[in-house]
Amino acid sequence: MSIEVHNISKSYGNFQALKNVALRVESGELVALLGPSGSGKTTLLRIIAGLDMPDPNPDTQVLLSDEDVAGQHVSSRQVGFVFQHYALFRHMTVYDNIAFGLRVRPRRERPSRAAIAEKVHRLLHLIQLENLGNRYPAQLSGGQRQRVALARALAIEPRVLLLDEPFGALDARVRQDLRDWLRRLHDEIHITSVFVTHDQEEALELANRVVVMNEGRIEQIGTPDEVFHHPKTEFVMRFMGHVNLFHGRVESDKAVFGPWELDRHATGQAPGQDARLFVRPHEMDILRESDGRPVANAVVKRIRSAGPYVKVELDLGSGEVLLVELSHDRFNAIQPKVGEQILVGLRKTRVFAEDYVI
Amino acid sequence: MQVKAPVVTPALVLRLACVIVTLAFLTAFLLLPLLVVFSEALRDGLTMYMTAITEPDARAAIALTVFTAIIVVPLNIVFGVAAAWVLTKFEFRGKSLLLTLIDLPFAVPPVIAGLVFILLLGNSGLLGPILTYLDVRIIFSTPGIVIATLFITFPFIARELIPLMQEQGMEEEQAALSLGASGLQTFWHVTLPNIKWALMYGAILCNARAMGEFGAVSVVSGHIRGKTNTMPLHVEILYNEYNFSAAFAVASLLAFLALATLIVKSLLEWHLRRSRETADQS
Repeated sequence: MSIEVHNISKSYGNFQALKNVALRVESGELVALLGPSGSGKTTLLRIIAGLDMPDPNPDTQVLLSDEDVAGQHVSSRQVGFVFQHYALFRHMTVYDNIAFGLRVRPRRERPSRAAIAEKVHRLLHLIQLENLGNRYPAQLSGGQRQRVALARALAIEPRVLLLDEPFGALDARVRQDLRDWLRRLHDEIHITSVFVTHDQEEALELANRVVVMNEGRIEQIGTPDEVFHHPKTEFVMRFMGHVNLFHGRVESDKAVFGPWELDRHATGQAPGQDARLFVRPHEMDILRESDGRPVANAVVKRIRSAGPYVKVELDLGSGEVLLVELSHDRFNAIQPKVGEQILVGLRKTRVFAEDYVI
Repeated sequence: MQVKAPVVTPALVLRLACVIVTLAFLTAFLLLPLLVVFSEALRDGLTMYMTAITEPDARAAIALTVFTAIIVVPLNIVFGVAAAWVLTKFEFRGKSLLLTLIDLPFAVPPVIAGLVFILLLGNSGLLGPILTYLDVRIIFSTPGIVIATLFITFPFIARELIPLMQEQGMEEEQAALSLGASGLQTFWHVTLPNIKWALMYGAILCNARAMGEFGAVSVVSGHIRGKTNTMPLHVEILYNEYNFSAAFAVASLLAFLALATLIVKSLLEWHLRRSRETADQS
């Protein structure tokens, strides 16, 4: 079941949450809507579900399996929606919560009591909460509630599954477990799914494709590899993790960014404009002797070696602090000391032209 | 392990003083009057007491009071739920104005409310000619009493529900809709169970006020014995006729109602607190 939207705009008073957004999600995909808060990702998800209505526009389309559902009420769209704060029915047991979507069907379409029981038990098994059917939501942990919310949404055999910040309210350990579990679940049942998140790691790890959103627009759509390694815009570059930033200028044959001179052709930018150089911490290296690539002198300010990488903070002399991530092996080979003068080199660079927004 | 007392425990003297002042106040203004009501009611013996509350005029007043409450409370339940639903689950222009209007009966003195209905529905009132033409009598008759009571008591239920429903938000309702439930099913299976204790609490308060309302009803009723007298009005008439023990006998029934209301109210409050606590955990 594919999802397709066209010409979606949404404003709340003077605030424009979505600006003419279009998106297609193929059948069976697991897509992440990634962006900072206020980027419109939740609004887009709610419009797909029918919980919010886009601004009226004759060209607006919301298609589920190529059928236009823009005029359909949320209750007839048959979408599974999982709310950020679960929204479990607090006065119902886990069992009744999951059975709800089946019990409210018109009498003709309603499964028999036995069929409902069988289905609920299958779902309880799926979410690994077989013995907790009689509990009330208040008696469950956050992770358990989230799984109940998911089972409740799956009970109606939805055409698509929409999850709003599904792990937002959980602590780190539970988050990771639930993330792995959701990935395996999706591999098993292959339901077209869209989830909203502001955590780039979550999006990169879980999704087949990532939709990066900013200020009501889609910045880039691509596989996790594409958006991480080939960001199309400066925003995507910055949002995907820590970056070191240098202002500079592109000249006729070279581009100068503080201590570094790069070949202009390698930057892909037209000459004669201001530009910015972005380098990720793990795409830098520290050296004792120059190896021919651009290097700069720097002083080691701080070393944090706890964790999978060693994080080294460097001062370029201009007061700018640079963050470099090294493997422990590399770090041990060089053995820099705090206060020591050292060379820093770039292994991979990205240059974006300054956009003049006035 | 020794549990330390909170740092801000007031001095023992201060605490004692507060307790004594509170108890003295309660005794003087609540307990003593209540005792007086019952002792005055029984001053001429149990037989007189029974006669006073079973004579035809008293019976008519009790019947009218109960009849009014039976009409008013359900109507205000419907109104209160509808108003709270609209005010908490939707965004629209003029919402705060509507919220203020709901409090109007609290702000307007009941006598004025009664007068308004006379000016509106009385023989020489705004709608008087139409009502006369249709041969419908509202003022100095039961419908007038019901309308005045309805007006006075309509904020009680809405006021109880609005804060609770605001706190609960509408995610559960949206979840129910996304699962395919109709609006009515959502209301019945999701909204109503979440507000039922607050609703009962509001209904109890509404009932107490409906049965005890004096000012507005006094203006529109006309005090026709056996016809348009409610219990509070009947008490006043008996008292003005120096028939003290009969007056207090009927008053004691209203006092019983008050006590029953208080007991049910505290039971419901306990329930309400518990359901809020479980709501907080989720």
